[in-house]
Amino acid sequence: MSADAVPATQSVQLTVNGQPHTVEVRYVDDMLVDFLRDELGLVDVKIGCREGACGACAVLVDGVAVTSCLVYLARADGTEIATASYLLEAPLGERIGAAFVENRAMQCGYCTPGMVVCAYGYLAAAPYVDTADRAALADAFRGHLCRCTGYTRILDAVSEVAQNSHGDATD
Amino acid sequence: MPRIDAWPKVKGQAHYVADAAPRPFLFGALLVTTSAHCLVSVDKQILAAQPGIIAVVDHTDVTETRFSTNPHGGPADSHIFTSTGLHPGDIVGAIAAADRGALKRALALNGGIVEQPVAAALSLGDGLQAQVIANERYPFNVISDQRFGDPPATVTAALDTAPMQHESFVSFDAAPHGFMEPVAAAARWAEDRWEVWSPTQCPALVRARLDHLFATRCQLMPVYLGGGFGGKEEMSIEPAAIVLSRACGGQTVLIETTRQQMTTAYRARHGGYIRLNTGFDDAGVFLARDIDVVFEAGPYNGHSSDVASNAADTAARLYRAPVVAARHRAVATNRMPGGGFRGYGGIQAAYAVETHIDEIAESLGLDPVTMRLRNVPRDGDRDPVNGALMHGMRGAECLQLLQERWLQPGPTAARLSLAEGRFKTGRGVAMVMAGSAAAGAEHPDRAEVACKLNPDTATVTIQTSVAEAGQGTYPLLALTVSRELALDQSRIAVENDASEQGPHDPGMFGSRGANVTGSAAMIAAILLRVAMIKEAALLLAVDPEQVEIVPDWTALRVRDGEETVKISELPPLRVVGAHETSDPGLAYGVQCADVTVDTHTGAVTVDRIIAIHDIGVVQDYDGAKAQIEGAAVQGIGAALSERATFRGDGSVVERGFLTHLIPTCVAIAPVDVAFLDAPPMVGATGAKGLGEASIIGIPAAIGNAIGAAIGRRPRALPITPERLARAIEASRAAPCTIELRDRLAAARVTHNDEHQHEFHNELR
Repeated sequence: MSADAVPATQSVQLTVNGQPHTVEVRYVDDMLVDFLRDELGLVDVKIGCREGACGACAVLVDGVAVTSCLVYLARADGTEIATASYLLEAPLGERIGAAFVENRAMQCGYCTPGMVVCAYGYLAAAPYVDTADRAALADAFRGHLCRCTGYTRILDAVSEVAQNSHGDATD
Repeated sequence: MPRIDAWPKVKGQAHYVADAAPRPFLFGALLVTTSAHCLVSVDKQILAAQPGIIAVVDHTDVTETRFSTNPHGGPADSHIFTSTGLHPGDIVGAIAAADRGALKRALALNGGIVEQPVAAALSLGDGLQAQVIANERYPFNVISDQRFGDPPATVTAALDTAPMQHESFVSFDAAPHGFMEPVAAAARWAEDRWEVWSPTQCPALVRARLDHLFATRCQLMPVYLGGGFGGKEEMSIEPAAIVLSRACGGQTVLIETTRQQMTTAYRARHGGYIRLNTGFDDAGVFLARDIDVVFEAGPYNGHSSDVASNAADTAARLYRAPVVAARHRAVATNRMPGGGFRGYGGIQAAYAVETHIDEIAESLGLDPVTMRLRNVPRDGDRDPVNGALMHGMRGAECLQLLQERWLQPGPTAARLSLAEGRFKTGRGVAMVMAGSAAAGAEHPDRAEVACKLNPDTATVTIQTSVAEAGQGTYPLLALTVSRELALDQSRIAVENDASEQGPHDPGMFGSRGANVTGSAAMIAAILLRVAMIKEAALLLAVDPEQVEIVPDWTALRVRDGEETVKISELPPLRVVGAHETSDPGLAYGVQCADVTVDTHTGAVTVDRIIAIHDIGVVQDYDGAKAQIEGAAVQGIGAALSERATFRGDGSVVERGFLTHLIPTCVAIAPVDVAFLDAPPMVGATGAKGLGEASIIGIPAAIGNAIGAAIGRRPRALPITPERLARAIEASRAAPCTIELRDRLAAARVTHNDEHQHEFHNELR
């Protein structure tokens, strides 16, 4: 039996969507995405690839958009996690959500919560986005795959929020 | 107008299979082969002995018969679990565990699956030569081999007597789907039935198939689909979920597949080749067309025979000719199965036909639009597929609109000299054609939609058995009913009901939603209004013709009178609208691409896409535009990067999204869209389909644009940088000229020989 097959006993404390959690890590390769979905029922975090390539499982870890399929639960100790459903309740999230809805920035919707998380992380970190610099915006989203929309409306939505948010994007 | 499902999707409240399966559930996974062709057994004892494993099942746990994964019907060539692996990744069993960690460890165990490899058909060439039989169900590896149109001898004679003739040969790599939601299925026993969470595009059909297979009532629970594109137009792992749950005493089991399984072993756009031979006169008018489609099916039929058939249909219907013959084959091999994939063979057909016609145009000095205008089908032509009179043919109008609005006069495919510099630009045009219904004279397409009035809330619930995978059927149904009832969309809900008692609809495929399902919804809405008015008239004791619904939808009133009946006073009402058609509702369009080719690296950038479509009466302009934008990018992927690269042992090199290169947001191009103003020609709504037409011509337009840029049209999809770099190199060495066979000179066409040689090497 290999070492990683030995159930671990590490205890991890983390905050998810404002709620503190203490969790026993059963296996060293337990992933954050599975904890969020299986244990907390946060199915707004989707699983597309489990290799960090599609962005469907993106969450904010301490304010930074991260693919949670690549984060070991044990390594999330002490972090603050936010998922799309939580971020959408914040003023910036509300605006992002509304912009996605108005721009029809989704079709099948599977990638959408991950896109919302990415948009939130991007706009919160860089409130004064140059909305004319489409290439820079696209670059921020290149880790997120969408098979349906062709991306244009997603970038339009984020650009629109940036345009309307100058001065108050981090609220 | 926002989509009715927009907010749930943004918030992550739209539940897909893995979200909707009731918690707690057992964690399930498929047990699969690695060899292309093998006798296989599952060591159930060793797997079951692993910590946390609840159940292991294989073919010995199955008494159910074989079935077709194609829910529309087809040869029963698939087992729930096989004892003979017929392609790498074939399903031999399933395993359930109490937690993910235990499942992961059991799956990593060596020795759980024992394979004894046997000779395999490891290429399309192997399949065609039939020295090795891929699946004993298919002698000589022939899954299908059919013809339509004029007799071969007639076509040969017509080709031989035509003043000029052009033959071309184009090959295609298989390409995995890349829908974002990996296939998953869950099942549990609920007193007297199986409850099943299925990712199928065809819930009503799959429910009926499961009922039959298990001789037990099965209920499909409503879920959203994270993209389908035809890859989920199947019954795939639902039976495996039921068998696994059965072994776990009926507990809920969720089987999730991996992205690797989706990329290497699930369903792909078909690889294969298309050969075209066309006779024409010096004005470029087609006189005879011979079409030969050969697709690699993998070991099971699934949709393959239908896809090959549709490819030939599409190729034949794109252009008229007095004599047309087509042959289409699906060939069995021991590699990844082909399946339905947006366009359903149309992408391959359009690529072959559109590069072919461009070459002829170029050889005659005609511009691409003029060439196409001389051959595009017109009203009153005979449909080469079924002999019916064609109507509503609007391809010529699409071409004229393209010419007027976007293209400058003169040849657009002017070849640039390779000496001009590193970056070359070009523009390419492609016609597209797709149906709006899965219909023919002998098999009409029929849809039912139910509308329910909820009097207490003065709201309406639309019931359909169609799945929503992003295509926009639910938003369109809501819009249609909203318009018909003058009711705000916020008071309309769409509900999936795939039960036997539910409104029957075969599902989401064939671009049929707007036309067939949409028309049924319109009729249901009209019936509901009539029913409401009738009920109100009874209560008001007046003639129904005097009653109308008040605009704010609180009541019904007597026209020009005071008396009203509150909607809450009406009884609950449910009506079913049905629409049936035998008209395939052919919809034409034209797509155009501008590209820049880096002649040093072979990299292609798509700078712009123009899409002009006949979609009949435009129901939802913005929704249709969104559909085209998405299809353009998916088409760019099909054109330039998406492929399954097979190793010699039949396995696939690409393992997931890090190697299966679907476009990212840096690959997008501006998309200009126009729709013809159209009178209603089909259905109740007059809407034609767009889902497939929107992608079919994109790779062809890109191929022709590359041809315009470098003087040589790529002969294989996808047009990867390395392939293109080789073509550019060859072009430098020997600039390509199209030598058309002249009746007098009888010189053979040489244009494709080099590529054909390369492909035949691959076949070997």
